[in-house]
Amino acid sequence: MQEARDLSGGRVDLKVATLYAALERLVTEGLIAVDGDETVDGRVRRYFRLTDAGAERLASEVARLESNARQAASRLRDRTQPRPLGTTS
Amino acid sequence: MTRAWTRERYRRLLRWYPAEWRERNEDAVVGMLMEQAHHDGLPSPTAVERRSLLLNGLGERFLQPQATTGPAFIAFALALLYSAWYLSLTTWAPGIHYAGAVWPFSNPTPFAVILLVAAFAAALGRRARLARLLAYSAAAGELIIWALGAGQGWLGPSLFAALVFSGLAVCAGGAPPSRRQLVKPVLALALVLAAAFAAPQIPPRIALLFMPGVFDDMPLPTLLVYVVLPLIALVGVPVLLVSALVLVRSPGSRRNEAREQVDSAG
Repeated sequence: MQEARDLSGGRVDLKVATLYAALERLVTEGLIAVDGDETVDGRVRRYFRLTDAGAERLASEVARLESNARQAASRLRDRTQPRPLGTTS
Repeated sequence: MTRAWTRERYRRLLRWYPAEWRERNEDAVVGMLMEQAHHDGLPSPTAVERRSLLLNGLGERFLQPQATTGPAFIAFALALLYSAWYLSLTTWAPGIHYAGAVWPFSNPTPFAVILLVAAFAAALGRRARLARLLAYSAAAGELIIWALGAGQGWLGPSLFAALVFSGLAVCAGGAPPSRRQLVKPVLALALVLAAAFAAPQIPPRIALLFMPGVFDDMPLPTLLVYVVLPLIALVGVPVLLVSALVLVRSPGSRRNEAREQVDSAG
């Protein structure tokens, strides 16, 4: 959760209940799997690992986001370049 | 405020979640909550955490797509049998025409039964979330029909009939994961029904007991059988059900006690 907060520059502030609901859903969908429990300082800590199906889904999601970002960057570049006179956008 | 105290606060908040979910995740989630609280320097759950656990717990309890279980199918079967009996024998009245009648029935209960049948079909089709929502809608619908009927003077459903139908529909939609976890809801439903049945009957019977001259010529055994014993039963059954509800402990509470012993030992 701390990592999510740091990576998003403080924009994403996950609550434990929300995070766990998401983890449960991902386990049900077979995208992640429980990788064991460990007791640290009297508290149970549960580890999860990405499954092959999860890695595949993540890769396709990354590709989709990259494509979206490329499109957006390309449109942004077009907007900043001067247009010939007499054309409309 | 000790660590055990904070841990207990979090465990209590997790009671919003279903027992089966707590069985699987409680230790790990409490560990995560404790770690977060320690990191943020918080001695007890914040209002935001409490709200988040409440909403997610209720969502997990009522909206998550769990498979419809054997006990839920038993509740469906009972609710459908009761509906068939109620529709065919109590409300079947093709000759009656008035504002509350839904021909050929004497009140709009068939609409709630249609929702229940749709819920059953969804459960058979493994659409557990849809089944649950439809079963809850049937329960709520029947109670609304009862309230409307009571206000408008329709021919039923009675409160007793509406409670039986709604209680069974909620049990069917709730999909309790084991027979053991069905004990408390069934006891609670029996208590509501017994109280709804007994409440209007107790005051006039007590008043009758104190009315001069009513039982003067009645022999004692007859008085016992026809007056005193029914009164004892009307009061006693709800009291017995309340006692049973208090005494029957959920599997979760036994587990928590074991954990408390471990916590205090540690």
